[in-house]
Amino acid sequence: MATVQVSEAEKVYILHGIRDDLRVDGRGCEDYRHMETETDVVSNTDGSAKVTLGHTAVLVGIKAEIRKPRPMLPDEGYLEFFVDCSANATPEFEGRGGEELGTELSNTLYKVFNNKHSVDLKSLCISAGEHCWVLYVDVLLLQCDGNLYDAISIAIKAALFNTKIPRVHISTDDEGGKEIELSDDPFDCMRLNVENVPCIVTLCKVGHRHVVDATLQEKACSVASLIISVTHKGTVTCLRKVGGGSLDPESIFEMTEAGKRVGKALHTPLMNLLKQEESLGKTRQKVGFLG
Amino acid sequence: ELLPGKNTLVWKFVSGLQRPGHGTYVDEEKVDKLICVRPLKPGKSHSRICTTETLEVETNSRLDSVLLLSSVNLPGGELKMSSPMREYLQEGDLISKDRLCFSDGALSRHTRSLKYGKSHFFSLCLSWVRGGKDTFHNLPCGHPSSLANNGFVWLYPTPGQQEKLGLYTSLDLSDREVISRLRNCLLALAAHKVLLMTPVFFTVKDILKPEVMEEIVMLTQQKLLEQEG
Repeated sequence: MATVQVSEAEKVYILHGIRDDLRVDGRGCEDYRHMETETDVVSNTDGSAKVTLGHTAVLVGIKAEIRKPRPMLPDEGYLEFFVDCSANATPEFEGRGGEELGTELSNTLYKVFNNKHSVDLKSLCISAGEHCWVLYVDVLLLQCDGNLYDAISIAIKAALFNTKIPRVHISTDDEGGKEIELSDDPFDCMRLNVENVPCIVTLCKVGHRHVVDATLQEKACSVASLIISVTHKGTVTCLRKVGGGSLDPESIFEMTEAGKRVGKALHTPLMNLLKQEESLGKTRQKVGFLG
Repeated sequence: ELLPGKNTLVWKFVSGLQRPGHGTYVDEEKVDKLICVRPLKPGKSHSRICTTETLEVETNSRLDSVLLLSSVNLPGGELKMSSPMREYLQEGDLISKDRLCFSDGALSRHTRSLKYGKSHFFSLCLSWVRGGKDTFHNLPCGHPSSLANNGFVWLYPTPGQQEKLGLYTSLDLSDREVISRLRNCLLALAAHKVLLMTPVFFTVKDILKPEVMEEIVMLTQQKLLEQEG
């Protein structure tokens, strides 16, 4: 992870600012930075989205493939995650430098998204025990400026919304074998229900308070942070603590409450935005991930 | 400003003389290769300590520069160091100094005083700061700031207050708001590649939005044009 150096005096300034609910860039403790979302940015994927949050930029592409379902869950499809930490983000990711962060991120994403409460995995099943759709979610970090989890989760939700899986028909031939036929019509496709897909809210404990969407400087002042995934109803689906410091139970409770509040407020504008973008159709001017 | 293909005055040295003055003449030449322009009079710049073992400092440039032990002024006018370096300077600490250039292109730095760096706020503004003799400015809104030649910016509370306040005491909310506003304005101007700055008043948070940023930049550019015309 990209690190910045902060001197003692700066730390004090940041700490006092958070205590007074006025952060260095003028935000309150529960404010996000400016966020931009665009879907359908990569043409050779089934669904893609790009999210920029401050200077953090994330690109997510989803590809669907037909595979055998997992033996334990024969009537469900599944998701696979891969996070690529590009050396474009920071020079530290060069070579194998980003591998550790990549695995950590993908493991957390797997826990948050790959369950039937978040994504309707049953709808990914084609024939129980034999064929199912597997969604390969590839995350590419283009720029790191703190708060990767939130940006990635929003990008994944947008990309899942954008995903179009072709419809398949199963026909039985004379010998009793099953044959899968893909629909010829490119517009005959299945959409995923993303209503219950959670968004991740990262709360950093700085001093006696906690902040949402911490910048790298604020991250350097925080001892520990809490990753909370929240659905549109405000249900917490996953909770994880990262960082070396400790958190007392009372502040964990406070942070969860704040996370719920912030996370719940995040979903409605996001869904409205995605639907609005969808309704523009082909007339929309695309910015793309280089723009 | 030097660009390839531009006609430049070049000192031609005659018979072993290494310095402009007697025995040299001025000639105009076209620059067709990469040259290094060494400033006659180096300006002041802020920087951040990287390592205390070798006293390397980050100066927002390609290479880190070295802080010579002989050029460090110890606090309280001490002449000899009585405790380890880390008690005086720590990794991440900020300092402000004059820049000296060695002949091989290495940068050496000279600490003026530790007082400058120990600031209340420091923000980074890349290459869009106009270099000048004076780094300390009083902005039109009456707030002081320090724009160093290497692009580091230091915004600090009004001078009267600064002396009253110790290093670790907190600021008024209004002062803090002004500093945040200025920071966002400066970053917005830097993002739109404008050299000068004139703060326009918006609510602090709004300046993070690109539309507002553009508006500020447009207004500033207009003001600049008016001033020139």
